[in-house]
Amino acid sequence: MKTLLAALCALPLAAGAAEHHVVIDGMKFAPQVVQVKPGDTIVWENRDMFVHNVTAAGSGVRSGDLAPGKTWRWVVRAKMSFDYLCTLHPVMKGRIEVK
Amino acid sequence: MNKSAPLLLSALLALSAAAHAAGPNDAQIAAIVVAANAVDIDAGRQAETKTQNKDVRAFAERMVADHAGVNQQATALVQKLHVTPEDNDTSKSLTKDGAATRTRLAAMSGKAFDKAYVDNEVTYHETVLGALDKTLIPNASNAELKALLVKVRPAFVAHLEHAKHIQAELK
Repeated sequence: MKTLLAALCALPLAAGAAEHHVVIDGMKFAPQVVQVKPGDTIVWENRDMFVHNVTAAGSGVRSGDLAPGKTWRWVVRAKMSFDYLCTLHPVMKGRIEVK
Repeated sequence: MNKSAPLLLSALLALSAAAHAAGPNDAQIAAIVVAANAVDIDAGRQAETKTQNKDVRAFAERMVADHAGVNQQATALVQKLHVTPEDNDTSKSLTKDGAATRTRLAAMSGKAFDKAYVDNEVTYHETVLGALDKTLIPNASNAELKALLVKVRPAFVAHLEHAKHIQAELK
């Protein structure tokens, strides 16, 4: 019975939105490519010693400046994949693939 | 290669030669790190006042901010470790050559200035990366100092790529 209850409680989580983490460190987004679904949340965490941002201007994604230690949460709304970058360090690139 | 490059190269080659002889100690490495960052901050500040190019301005602003960040971390670490940065031939050469480059660039304007500044930034980041890999990181004896040098290395790589991108645009 306990096992069944646990399984039933876990169901909404499994079927619901997931949370994905992207670490910003060493002038990189890791993982560089994240696969998500609409409704999922992505959390970027700046562990670097420099200010960074997460920007995909064409998709309206703009974190603003993320000081070291800051995080930024963004909920995936549309089923549209996009590339993003840190505009302060344009060599830093990432991609969100929405399935 | 621009005219300032030989100056910077001579300083860093001297550093390389010194490393073969004995290798800088942690106090000397700290002084070299602070001097190298200060040179790029000053170059960036000069560029901020002179350039009309938005990409060059954005790059210069980033150099000022990032290298100030590195120096803040370096200064905090040496204070924590009770190390007093020890000026040496390399740190003195870096400072002197940086001032000479700024004097040379002060006489320039427009695209000529932008090109000279960015060319110098490419050379600067290449040579500092070489110094980090061959001299500063291998010779750092304190683990935290070594870790800081390793941690800042990717920034120099990213800055170099960024500078090369602008250099190609300016051609």
